[in-house]
Amino acid sequence: MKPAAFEYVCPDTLEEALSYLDLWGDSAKILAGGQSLVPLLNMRLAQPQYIIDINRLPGLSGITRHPDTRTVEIGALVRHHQLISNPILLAHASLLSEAARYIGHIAIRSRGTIGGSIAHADPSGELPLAVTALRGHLKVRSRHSQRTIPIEDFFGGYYMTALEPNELIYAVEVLESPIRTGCAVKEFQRRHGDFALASAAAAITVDESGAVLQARVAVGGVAPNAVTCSKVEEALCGQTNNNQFSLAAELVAQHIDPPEDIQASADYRRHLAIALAAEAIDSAYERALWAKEEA
Amino acid sequence: MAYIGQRMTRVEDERLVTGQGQYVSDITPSGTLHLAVVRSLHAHARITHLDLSSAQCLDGVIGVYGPDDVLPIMKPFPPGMVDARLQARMPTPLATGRVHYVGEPVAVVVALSRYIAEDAVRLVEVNYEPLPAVTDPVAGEYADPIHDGADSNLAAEIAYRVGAGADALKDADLVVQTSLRLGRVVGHPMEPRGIVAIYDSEQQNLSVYAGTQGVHGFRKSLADMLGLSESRIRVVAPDTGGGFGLKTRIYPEDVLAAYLAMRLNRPVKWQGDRYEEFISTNQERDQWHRAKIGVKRDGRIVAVVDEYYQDQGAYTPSGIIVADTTAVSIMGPYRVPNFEAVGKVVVTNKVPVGPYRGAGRPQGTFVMERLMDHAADALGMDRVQIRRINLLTPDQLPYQNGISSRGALMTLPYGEYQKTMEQVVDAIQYEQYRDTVRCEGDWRLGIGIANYLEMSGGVGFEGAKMRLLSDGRVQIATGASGQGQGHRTAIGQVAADRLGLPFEQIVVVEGDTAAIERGIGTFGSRTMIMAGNATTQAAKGFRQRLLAFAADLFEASPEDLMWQHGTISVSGVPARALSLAQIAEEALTRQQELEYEAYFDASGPAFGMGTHGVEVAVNTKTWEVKIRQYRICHDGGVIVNPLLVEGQTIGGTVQGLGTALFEALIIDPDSGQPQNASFLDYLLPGAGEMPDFMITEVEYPDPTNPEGFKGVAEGGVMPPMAAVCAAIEDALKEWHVRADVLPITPNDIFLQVTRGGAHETRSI
Repeated sequence: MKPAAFEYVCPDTLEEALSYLDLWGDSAKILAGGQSLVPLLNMRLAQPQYIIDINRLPGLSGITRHPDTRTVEIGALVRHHQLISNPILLAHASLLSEAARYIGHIAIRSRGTIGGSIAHADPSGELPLAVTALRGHLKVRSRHSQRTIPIEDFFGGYYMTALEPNELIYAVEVLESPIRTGCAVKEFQRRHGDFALASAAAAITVDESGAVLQARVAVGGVAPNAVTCSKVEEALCGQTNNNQFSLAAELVAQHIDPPEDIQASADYRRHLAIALAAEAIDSAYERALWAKEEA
Repeated sequence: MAYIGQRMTRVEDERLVTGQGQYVSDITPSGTLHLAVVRSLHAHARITHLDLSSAQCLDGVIGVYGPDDVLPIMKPFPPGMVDARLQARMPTPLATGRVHYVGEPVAVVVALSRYIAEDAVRLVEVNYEPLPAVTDPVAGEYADPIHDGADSNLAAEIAYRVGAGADALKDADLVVQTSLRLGRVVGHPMEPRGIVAIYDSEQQNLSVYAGTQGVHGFRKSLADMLGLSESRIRVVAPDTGGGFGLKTRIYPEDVLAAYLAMRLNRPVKWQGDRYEEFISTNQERDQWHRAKIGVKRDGRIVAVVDEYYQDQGAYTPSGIIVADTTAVSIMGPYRVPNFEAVGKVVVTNKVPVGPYRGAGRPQGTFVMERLMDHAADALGMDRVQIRRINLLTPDQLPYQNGISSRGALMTLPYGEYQKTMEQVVDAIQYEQYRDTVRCEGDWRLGIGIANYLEMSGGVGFEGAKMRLLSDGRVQIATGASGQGQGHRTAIGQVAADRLGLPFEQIVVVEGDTAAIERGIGTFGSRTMIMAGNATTQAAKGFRQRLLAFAADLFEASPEDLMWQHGTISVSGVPARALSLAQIAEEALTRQQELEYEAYFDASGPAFGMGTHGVEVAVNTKTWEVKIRQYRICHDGGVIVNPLLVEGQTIGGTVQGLGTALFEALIIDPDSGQPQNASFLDYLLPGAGEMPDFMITEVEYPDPTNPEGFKGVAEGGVMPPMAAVCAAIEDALKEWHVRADVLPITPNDIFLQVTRGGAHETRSI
């Protein structure tokens, strides 16, 4: 449980970090919160030659609202615990706050970062799930270029992403939730803080009459990456009651082909995904109605 | 003030919780070299080629050693527990020719740091020719032998028969049969195994720091393997972070580190990590049972019959103690007139099995308690009622159940078993809810009750050596090395009472062969029975020794002296008095050691009966199981410190709940590869999954020892599996779920529910 030798750098500017990354590419790993990387190093499942510690980089730790574009931008180094209590997120993108509550244990939430979680691309990661549900974008830079990747184009299978070896996520961007929106995340863990066997996220917007105007639904832990469930979302539009929600949640099955492993059979994972999606939809809808009352 | 019976907080804790403890990993003498092990990647293979040269060339590597390089120690370990029924399979420190499990040591590296040693491990080239892995003990019995020179994989067959045995089933009105499985559980003390070996080449003495449960046995085994006299070896167990039976014997790494320390004449340290704990430290449970119970229509047991397999893993480091104790534990606190158990111990290509908290007791209890539940169901009788009918009654006790174990017929002493069980039945409101289906939203509630008979101590001896320190405190050394039990507190309480001294005047020393000549160690819930009674014996002699010494000083007869509050005085002449500190001073000037050593010999195991009751809630959407309430009543004999006893009981229960609901090392049946050898997906129960435990105690003094002590460390781990399984079945009656395979997981429950419940296995 001792890592192989590596060279460690701790740059002070994003430009410096990007030039290291440009130089070393695949043989370097970015160290942010270290909650996944450090165990991988210790078990020698990852043996990078270089570690680029980005914890000192300025400007990556903020959460900003841009009213003109109706977006919220979250710096890559924002820690999970900040997501839980940030007033901007609670008001305008509360699905991220909801999701962050389920991440690991308090020590993990204190150190882990949103950029790290998304770049790690764990199939049951809570933040990949929430950002997927919200159709977020990842702001990515390399030494010489900059681009924005829609999250639906970002994940490429278990722990795989569209990042080039010289690229770094510096921010995550999501659209503000419309008024009269309620959000909920549900997951099933064997123990407190475990990776989810299955999880579901829902953001439901209702119209003035209380019918579903827009639905965002995604499930996690049941495929190589989080999966948006467009058929469920379509089926929910215009609906107002729980029976219809349950029927809509059944459609999750058409989006997934869950893996089987020592923790759960494919059938059980599918069953959980549907049950959790139904719960998340119910709960998000109820919150949307509260939001309507307040509006 | 009597200290025995007080809830005293532990004298050990301040050091430990403030980080002042000294564990093996904290001990690194200057010049220490670090050892890392090249382990087999295959469950079963021939080693066709071993090339150490690349590893030897790495900077900072002192040496790389294969079996041919350490020939003096390349002999099988001495059999752990000799038994006529067993053909022992003992490993050599490094595998030769063939590897038998994933993790078996193949070679070792010694380097300037553990980092370099781990780098070098990856440079050692081992070529393997894979062989079919034996991963199932039932099929494995007749598979090609995994050990060269062995006739078969059957290492032992265990057979017990009481009364007419299985033949008596024909007299039953109803026979119920069930298949039970217990998963392969990894013990996981918080501190992984480790050793530091220091050789003094001038004096030719070897000092060893090792987290072991018995320093004397460790020394003996090490001496055998190294070909060194025991008198040249000192073994010290510093603070040790848990053992649970896994640290009772020496392992290959211990011998390799000690041998290389001598050969290289530098301290050598091996500190195992968590992954090594998963693939090299003894594992447990892992049994397959096919059990039958025959009952009369009124619920009385006619006979219990069990055929079982112990999936033993590759070797028999602790003999057949686990498989044997399983059979011995089945009848428990019940009257079973006819009994038969046949157990087969089959070697497989897995990590060896050795005792882990319970050592067969939990398995035996699981078998019996599951049979009781299934028999009650088949009779249409209440599950508690069938226990009431069959529990031994006070007028039947003491009772010999017909099993001869550890050299004596098992004799269950007096107790009031029904009263103990009723305490739990009442506390958990069993009667109030027994016939109702209880729902709370998506949750169904259910209750399970399980009884057990805890067998503790009963073998060998243990000592206590008292010595007057120069400041007047009394030091007590014992060979029973603790790993977190709180011996220094509990033995101190016994000593303070028996010496009539303030508790603060007692110092307990454990885990050092230099402190006491002989000892056995701490396992099998034996320490308070053995070292506790040895302390009582020693107190008597020590007092006499001091009185005799003081009599000389006072020029009085010992009979005329009084011993009170740590002061010895001449009766009727209070002015002529000396404190123990003054006596120590006198002894120093006269160059006399004031000490006394006593050894207590066991005359048979102690037995205490107890009951667990659990209420679970099962979610009918996710099939999650939550523990809502947990009630325990147990017999602790004369309880020295209720706080420590409750800690033992809760700790054991949590481990039992782990076996019930969470823990199992999954081995791929084809390759023999462990699938979840890390805490990522080997699920230990966490505090968040555990309920608050409510414990009550009864105290029936044990007749096998003067103090009336009973062991309490394994009772907790015995019944939780059966109790939880019963509660889950109760909650899910509607779906006829059957919880006979451990761990019982949400996935398993889901599959049973969607497939229409368990298959009926009962026959009439």
